[in-house]
Amino acid sequence: MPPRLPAGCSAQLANCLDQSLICTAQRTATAAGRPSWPSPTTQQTSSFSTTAPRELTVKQRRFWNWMRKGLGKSLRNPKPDGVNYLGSVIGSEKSPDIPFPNNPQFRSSPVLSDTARERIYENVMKKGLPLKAVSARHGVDMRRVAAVVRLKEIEKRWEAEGKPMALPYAKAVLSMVPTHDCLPDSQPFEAINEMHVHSYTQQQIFLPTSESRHFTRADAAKAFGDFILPPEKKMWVPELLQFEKDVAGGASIKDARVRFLETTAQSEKELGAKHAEQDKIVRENNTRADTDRFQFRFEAINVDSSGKNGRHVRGVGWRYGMPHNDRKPGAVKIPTKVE
Amino acid sequence: MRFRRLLRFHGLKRGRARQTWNKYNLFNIASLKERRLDNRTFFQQKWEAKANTRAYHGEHIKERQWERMFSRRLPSVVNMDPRYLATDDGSSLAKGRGSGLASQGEKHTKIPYMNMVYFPMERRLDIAVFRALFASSARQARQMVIHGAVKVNGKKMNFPGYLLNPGDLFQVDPEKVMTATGRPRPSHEKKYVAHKKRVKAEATEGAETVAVEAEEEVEEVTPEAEPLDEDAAKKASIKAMREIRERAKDVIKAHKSDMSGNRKKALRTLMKEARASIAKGQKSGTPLEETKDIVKQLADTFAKLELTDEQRREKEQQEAKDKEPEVTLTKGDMELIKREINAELENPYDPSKPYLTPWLPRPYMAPFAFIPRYLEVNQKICAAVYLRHPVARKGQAEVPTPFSSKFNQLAFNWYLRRG
Amino acid sequence: MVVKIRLARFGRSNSPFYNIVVAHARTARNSRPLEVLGTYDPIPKKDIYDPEGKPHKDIKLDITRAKYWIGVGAQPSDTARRLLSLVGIMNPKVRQGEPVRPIRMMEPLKAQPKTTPKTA
Repeated sequence: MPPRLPAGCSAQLANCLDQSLICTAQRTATAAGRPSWPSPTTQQTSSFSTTAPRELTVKQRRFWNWMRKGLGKSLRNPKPDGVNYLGSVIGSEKSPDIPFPNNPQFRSSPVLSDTARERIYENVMKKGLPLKAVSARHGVDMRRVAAVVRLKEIEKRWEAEGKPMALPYAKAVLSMVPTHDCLPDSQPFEAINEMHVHSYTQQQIFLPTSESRHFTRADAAKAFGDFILPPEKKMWVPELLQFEKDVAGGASIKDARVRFLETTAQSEKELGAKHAEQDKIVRENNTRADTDRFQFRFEAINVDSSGKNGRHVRGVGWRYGMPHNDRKPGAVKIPTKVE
Repeated sequence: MRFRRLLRFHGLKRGRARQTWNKYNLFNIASLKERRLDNRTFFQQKWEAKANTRAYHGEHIKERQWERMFSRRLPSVVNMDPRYLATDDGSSLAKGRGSGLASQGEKHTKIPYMNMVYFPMERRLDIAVFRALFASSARQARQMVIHGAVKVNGKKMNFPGYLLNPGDLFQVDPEKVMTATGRPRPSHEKKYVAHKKRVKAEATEGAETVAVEAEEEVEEVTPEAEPLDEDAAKKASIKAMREIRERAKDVIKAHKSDMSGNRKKALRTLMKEARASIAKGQKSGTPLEETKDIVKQLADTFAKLELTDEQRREKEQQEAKDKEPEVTLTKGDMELIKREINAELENPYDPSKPYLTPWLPRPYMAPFAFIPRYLEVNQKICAAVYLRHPVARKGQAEVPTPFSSKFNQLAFNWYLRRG
Repeated sequence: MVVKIRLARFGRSNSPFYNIVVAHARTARNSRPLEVLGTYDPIPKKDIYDPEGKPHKDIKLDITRAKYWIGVGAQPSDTARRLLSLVGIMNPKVRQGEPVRPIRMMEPLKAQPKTTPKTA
């Protein structure tokens, strides 16, 4: 872009030009004496720009109208009584929980409120109920129950340590999103028995059988592939199936629930024992020696793990005769997991 | 320059939807109208869809990198009700000629697979931080990660492209979150304008008060220059003087209307003295004993003035008691007061913070405040667990995208690289 | 020629990492050894579950092979001897005039994993 002259300057220049034109006219007319140049000091120069401010474009005007008088004004602050999304006022399918009006398939689903989290934490940590039972009782996914407990544990630790927490932030966010309290008589928070759709089951297959054949889910699973499991075997809480079978078989709900609690507790115990055994193996392979400054942690290994030529992947130590790619351009250095 | 880039980023002309809580972006999303594309070639349709959707989903990620992440296999789940599983072995679905007897007339809700095109993006750490509402934009989240404010499973992770695994716990420094999501501290310019306004408003009340308060304001704004080698005792005495001054100021403020002229005057002179002695005390030459004496004197005078005030108030209360029946605070009132005090303690005024205090959410946050189901967030400690990958289910898709299924489908077709 | 148990430095500048090796005394430090007994990471690390506790250093070691090499007369270097004495394979070297530093063992090493690679 060429350098621009300030506004005052250009006016001055134009004036000069006019004057010089007049002067030349005078000069040609008189053709005698010296032409009298206008002195620049007589001109008024302004230190600020005299160009008019740029006008708002149509879109900008529309935007500011929207912000000051239209919908934007109501969206500025959270509503005192709950959520405040765009989809509640515009879009094809108006609903208070749609944040994007063009996409009614995405809804802002409720999150667990603080009381719900506290309740789950107490059920698991204080009352010692099995995770599966808590999950089934509140209709919260097993993984979510575990996560809630994990996060609550950190929160309690922070509280005990007196670490500063983002309390006003938490309050504000939980007032802006829909929440669920997990009360005993409320609807389940989410479906806890959702199953991943295996890509093998997405194809249509032609399987000739007799019309009289009693073709069940298990048969269908086998038809899709040898290792495709029927849904009964993929459940997160398989004990629920037995519970429902008991209820359907005429047992009272109370009895069925007692049995459910027993079986889930049993399965949790078994899992705990399995973990304990694994821990024991790890402990036996490890020893710790404390000196006054450091702790040395020894892990037992086997030299044969590096294989005959010493280059096996599972071998311990820096491998000889192998290039390292960790500084090679193009090699991905982002870790794939953190433990 | 930065400002211009920002304007272009949220430009009204192109009207791109972005992953931010900006008000221009809100307007752009509200006025997103997908143009009629049927009069254009298939390539043009796909191009437009790709360009618009990519402007929202990970716009800061290079195209080649995204192409590597893209997967044509879109994940979905089906809800299998345990009661149904227990009572029905599924044979009814294979009745008749193989497609079930009763299922002819039923209307099925479809699984919106096409809204899941960008599901691998949601695995990225920076985008997950944005989705958990810890940052006001994906780019800000990315900066948080790079600057070392984000931990994954307790370890610092400074790669924004780290792909979260199910069960990963990520946490962000709460202070950073409060800064990112709170209102910014007013700039000097804004402060100045507000100050001018206040002065103008108070000019009608009385010139004297204005002068005093304006002086105080100036006093407050100047940073407390305290050389390090100064005696700690001296510092403490200066602090005491400051406190006296503050308290005197509070007394004046509280009883502006109902205070006698003499006492007001006395308090003001006391404040002036205190200010002068603070300035004196800060100079390196003054001996410690002298400052201590001054503090003592000031405290004595203030105690006298305050005491008379207190007595007067007590007297008033006594009079009121005599006239009216005794009013005691109910349990509810006490609780209310307690709650108010707690709220004050939780969200205090603290000028040392990089955000406006007491903390308030930034404007236009509410329309963007949603937490997808694949995250479990604890807002108090600013930590979240990535439970699983986002999935689609009947009538719902978990990937937050402002575009319709049709538009997303065109983008999906672009990345399929066919025809 | 003397067989030694010593450390071979790998890793990067300012981030050392050692292989604990058995090698002939006169071979180069990082040349291919007779056997790699394990590794030693000298950079102390904090435990993420116990950030207040002592920092720890990680060592991987094949105890039976180390004992075998000591038994056939391999001579550990000073540092290697210090590490081996931590698990009780050798006695620590005591210099004159220096106090004996206490070492507290948590649990003795019992078993070793019987892992063999599928393919070499």
